Amino acid sequence: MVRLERVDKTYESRRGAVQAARDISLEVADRELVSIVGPSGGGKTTILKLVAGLLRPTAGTIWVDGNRVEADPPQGIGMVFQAPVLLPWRSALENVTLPARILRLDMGAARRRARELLEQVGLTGFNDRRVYELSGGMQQRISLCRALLHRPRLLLMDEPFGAVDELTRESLNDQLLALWQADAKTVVFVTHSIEEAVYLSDRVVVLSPRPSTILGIETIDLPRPRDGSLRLEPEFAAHVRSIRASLGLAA
Amino acid sequence: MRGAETAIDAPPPPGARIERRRRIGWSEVSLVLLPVLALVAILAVWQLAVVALDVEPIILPRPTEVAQSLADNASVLSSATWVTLGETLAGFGAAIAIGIPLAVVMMYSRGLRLTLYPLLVVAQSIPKVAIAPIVLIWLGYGFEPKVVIAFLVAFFPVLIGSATGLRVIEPDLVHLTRSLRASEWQTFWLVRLPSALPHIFSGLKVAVTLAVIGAVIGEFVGATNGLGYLVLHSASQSNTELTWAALVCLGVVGVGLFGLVALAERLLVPWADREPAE
Ligand SMILES: Nc1ncnc2c1ncn2[C@@H]1O[C@H](COP(=O)(O)OP(=O)(O)OP(=O)(O)O)[C@@H](O)[C@H]1O
Ligand SMILES: [Mg+2]
Repeated sequence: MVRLERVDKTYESRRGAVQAARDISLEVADRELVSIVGPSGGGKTTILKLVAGLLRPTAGTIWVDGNRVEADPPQGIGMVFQAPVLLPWRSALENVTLPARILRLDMGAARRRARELLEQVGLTGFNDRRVYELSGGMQQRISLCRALLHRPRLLLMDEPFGAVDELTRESLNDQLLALWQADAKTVVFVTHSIEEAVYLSDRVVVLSPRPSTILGIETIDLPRPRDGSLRLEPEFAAHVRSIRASLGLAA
Repeated sequence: MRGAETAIDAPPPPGARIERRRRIGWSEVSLVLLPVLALVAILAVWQLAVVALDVEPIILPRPTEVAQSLADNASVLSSATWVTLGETLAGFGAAIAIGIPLAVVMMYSRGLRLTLYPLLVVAQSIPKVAIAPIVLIWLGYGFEPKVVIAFLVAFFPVLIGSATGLRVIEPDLVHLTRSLRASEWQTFWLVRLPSALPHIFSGLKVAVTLAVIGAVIGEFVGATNGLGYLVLHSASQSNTELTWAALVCLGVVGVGLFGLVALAERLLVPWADREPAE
């Protein structure tokens, strides 16, 4: 579904060149859920935007769905950005239906689906609110709903649950897993939480500090469907410990 | 016992305080009341000072005399007001109709931006008062030269406001629509233009006040009607009460137009200019 081959990315700016990703080779299978963890400022967002076709790699090649990603973003992707990036001049519901407007889908059906999605993430009764009246975590959930609206085949998520509390985060994790299992998507999930990565993923890619190189890939062979009790299992802790070790943290 | 203590000592819960502020609406009332009170106070001091110091009306008329003149010359003043208002609105409208599209074109075309921007800055640095006689030579003494001068002074802030608004867009907003393969047309209308609106309105608020000044400059240089003409004409005839009455009308035009633009801003851009909530 997604393939990166020896991808480099160097930002050129007036203050000099910053290499954000170096020699990234990675393959994500159809319907696989892969997380990327790594230190802040390493290049996680960069890698996600490269896959989305929003940035051009300095070297290397990226394929999505068998097509080389060139000037244009690939078709059928849904993206959750690190900040919610909502349109403050639109209501919560209108923000969620934005993809339908751009893709010229049926708006009635889009609004129904948007209401369902908002309900699933625990945001009933806020449909008509202006988004700037909502909390950071609520805004982030709206941006999650927006990314899912058009049923993308590839979901690229940049720390989507970074702004919610632990309880909400765990329940959103479970909702994401349920959606993923029902709707068969490929997901690339960036997070700074190792536990979250282990809980969700089939594989966890561990990145080095900038410029990002792949330090290791941890395969999470825990059974599915998963639920919260898994977080207390020794196998879970073993995966967390192994990822911490490859990041150079006390294990 | 414990409960009573808390009720007295503890500050009210934050929600309750906001509720009370809402009901009285003190902030809304004071928004109008404070400036009005200040104006009344200034007028009172003015009146008292003129009477006490026995200033001649030709130097400084009493507010009551200005009010009398306003009433006596109501028809002259109102026709002059309509003329100046018309010139101002036409010039302001032209500044919007040309300034905003030009900012859009300059955003998309780097070549045009690099070519036009320095020229516009140079043009802007020439005082419009100095250009006004030339405009009158070209266009005569009627309505058109005033519109052109009002346009010339209002144009630059509209252009700069729009150009700034279009430039400072949050990059991920554009990434968002691009990730959905939106056309540039869609991106412009769905994201670029709305997110530029706060800056566009800042420009419009400056522009509308300048447009009034532009129209008056035009009338000063040569006119047979309008508030600017009335100011010059009445002053030359030592009818200072009428001069002041015309100034009052100009003030009303300026404040009124500014208020309309500010109102449009509040309706169209409610997310901008929000004070941090308490
Ligand atoms: N547009 C840009 N121009 C120049 N440098 C950039 C740009 N975007 C990112 N960088 C640099 O690239 C590096 C990686 O940034 P990136 O946003 O990919 O990190 P990240 O891993 O997502 O970090 P975080 O976890 O804090 O979000 C950083 O050093 C950053 O300064
Ligand atoms: Mg990031």
